[in-house]
Amino acid sequence: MMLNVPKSLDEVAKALNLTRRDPKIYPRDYYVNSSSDRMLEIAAKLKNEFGVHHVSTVIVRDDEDGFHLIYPFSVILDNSEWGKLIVDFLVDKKNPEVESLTPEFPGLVIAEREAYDMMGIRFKNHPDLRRLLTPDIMPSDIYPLRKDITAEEIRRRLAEEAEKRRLDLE
Amino acid sequence: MTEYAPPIPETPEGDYSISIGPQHPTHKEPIRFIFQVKGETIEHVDLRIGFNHRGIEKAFEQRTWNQNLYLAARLCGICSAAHQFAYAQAAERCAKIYDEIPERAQYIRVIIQELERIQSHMLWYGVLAHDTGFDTMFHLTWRDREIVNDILEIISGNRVNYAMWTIGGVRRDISRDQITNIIPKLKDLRKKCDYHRDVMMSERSFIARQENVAILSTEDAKRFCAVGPTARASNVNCDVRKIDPYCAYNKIDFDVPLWDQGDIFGGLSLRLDETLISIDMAIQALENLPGNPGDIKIRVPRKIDPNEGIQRVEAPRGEDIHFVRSNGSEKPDRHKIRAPTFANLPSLVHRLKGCQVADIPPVIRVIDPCIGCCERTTFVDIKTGKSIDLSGEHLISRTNRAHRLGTRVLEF
Amino acid sequence: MAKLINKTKLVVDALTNSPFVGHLNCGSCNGCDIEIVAALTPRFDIERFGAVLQGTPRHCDVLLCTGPGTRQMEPRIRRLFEQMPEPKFIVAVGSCASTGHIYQETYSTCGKLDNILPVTAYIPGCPPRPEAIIDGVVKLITLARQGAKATEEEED
Repeated sequence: MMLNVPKSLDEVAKALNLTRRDPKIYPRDYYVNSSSDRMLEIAAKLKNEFGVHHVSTVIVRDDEDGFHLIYPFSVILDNSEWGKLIVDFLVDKKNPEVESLTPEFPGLVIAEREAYDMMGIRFKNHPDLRRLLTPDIMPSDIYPLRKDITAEEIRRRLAEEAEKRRLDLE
Repeated sequence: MTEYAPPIPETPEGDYSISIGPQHPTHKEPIRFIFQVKGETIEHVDLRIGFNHRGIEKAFEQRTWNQNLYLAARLCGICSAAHQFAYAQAAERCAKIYDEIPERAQYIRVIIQELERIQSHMLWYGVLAHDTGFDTMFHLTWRDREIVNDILEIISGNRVNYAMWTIGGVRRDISRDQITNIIPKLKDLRKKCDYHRDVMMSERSFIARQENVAILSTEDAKRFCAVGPTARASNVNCDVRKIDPYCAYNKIDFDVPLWDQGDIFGGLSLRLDETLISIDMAIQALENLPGNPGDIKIRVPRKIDPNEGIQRVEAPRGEDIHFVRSNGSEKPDRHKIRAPTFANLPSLVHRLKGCQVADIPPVIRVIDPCIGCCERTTFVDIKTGKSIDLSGEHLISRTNRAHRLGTRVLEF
Repeated sequence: MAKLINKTKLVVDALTNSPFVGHLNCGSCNGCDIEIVAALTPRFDIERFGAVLQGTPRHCDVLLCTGPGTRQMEPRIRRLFEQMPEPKFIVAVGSCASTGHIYQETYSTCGKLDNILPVTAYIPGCPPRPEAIIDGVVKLITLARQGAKATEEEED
């Protein structure tokens, strides 16, 4: 299939049926909102129709209305600049389970593991969903960046856990 | 054992497995690789990172936008300026003042960025020479690297953490005297870097260790979202300075070298070229420094209205992306950092497969791993609940006390 | 110093004339680490004082530790310390290792290196200059020599 080289990010957003929400100050930053059930569709379209190959990372934000999964897709424009199409997927807080984009973009493999580790977002069809950065002794119910737990609490739990391990060894 | 046990595959794919790290003479930083090996060939790689994870995000909870600048500088000791820079620019975008930064400040930002790139690349190829057993070159490059550190010390007063950025500009100006002092040093450095390039590109045994080792094809570099020199050595033009220009990079004339082999030698030759180009860029920016002395920053409100800002910069290791969200208070609501090393890890794991055991140190070195940035950086997250007594004053008094005491040896 | 008492004069001389130095990253940001490497390279050249860099802590008399000590590294740091031969000294390089600095209240660190290992010398600075690192190591050697001498006189 012929790749479509867009002239502007407006064109991409129109093809994906998304509307811009930021105040249009910075031409290469383009924020759009969407919901988690459109993730696979949007990713596949961006990859196959617009030749997007670079997704920088997965940003997760814990807000009152749910988790926001933010994917900055780099869209190559016709003047060879890379625009950022920043898609904000809203995820339900009670059951944070979404489709993984790793099969489409293998580079996201550890970024999604990090999102799982830090926020507890479960990715369906992820090839290797384990915790990534937190210590081995981190209790399984703690996701450190959620807003409902304080650093003090995590610190205390980790210290207890470390002490337990030390006594076990002795 | 919880579900986070170190990942060792249940069905080994090779004859035996080698675990390297977290502390190993090859690694300068703690990271653990588990190699499944068949004969001398690596069949499967698994890695465990997180030895450097210290949850910096929760320490940000009590910090204001300006205090966070100094935390951002301590994300990494080698590319501190890049992280601080990305944070400052993301905050400027969030506060919608990004276009109002004085031109002089933008040029000074370019100068510091390029000087940092020079010292980081020199550090890298020195350590690569050390890893491949060419210790003479290691000592030569590190001797000459001190020139860049001297220049940075002249400008900012410090060798490693420059603390030059602030939201809305830069903190220190570069005077005419300093420019006349610095330019001859840079020209001297350029000659020395030319010499390094000549030696490294003509030393047969050194090159033989690197040619056609751990090849990363263009397709794989794109597939695994590689960034920076790693991707450019595989012919992916992903230099953020060109493709998504920021501060004064679109006013400065420079080339982006590319290499199409994707092997270790490609990474080396690319970084040697980039070092020379960065020296030229720094001289160019110093000679054309515009504006009036002192016009280096604008005032920024203490509180930023609810908004989001995202900024990527070209750190020495590649694209470094920061995301901030404000909630109208003095502190950010969320701050996410993606360090370049983090983005290069999937491609590293891919290219280690099929390598020889003896090639492990240079192959790991080729992405210029900086585990410090990769792991301390995750999110920054502000809660309303009070949890930490870690105010700026408290820290400053502690640091001052430590400096007053100087190097202290305990009584036996 | 108690550990030095039982050692022969030869061991003390070997230790103080040429301390074998190791480097352990306990979760630092690389700032202190590159300054340690800079201290070894020609401009500063810590080898003037007989200090030689070793790859593994099993060969070291003096271990230069950077970083506040993360929870994940904690058991590994203890194990590496046990592997070092006696007599052994730990030097905390940098503000993080000495006091915890900006990490003292973060959730996944142990606060400071003192909480994990018995630290002998502290070198503050973020990062400390190579001169400061050399100064710290030299002060440590001098004190070890004085301590050994005092012990000798006591025995006489």
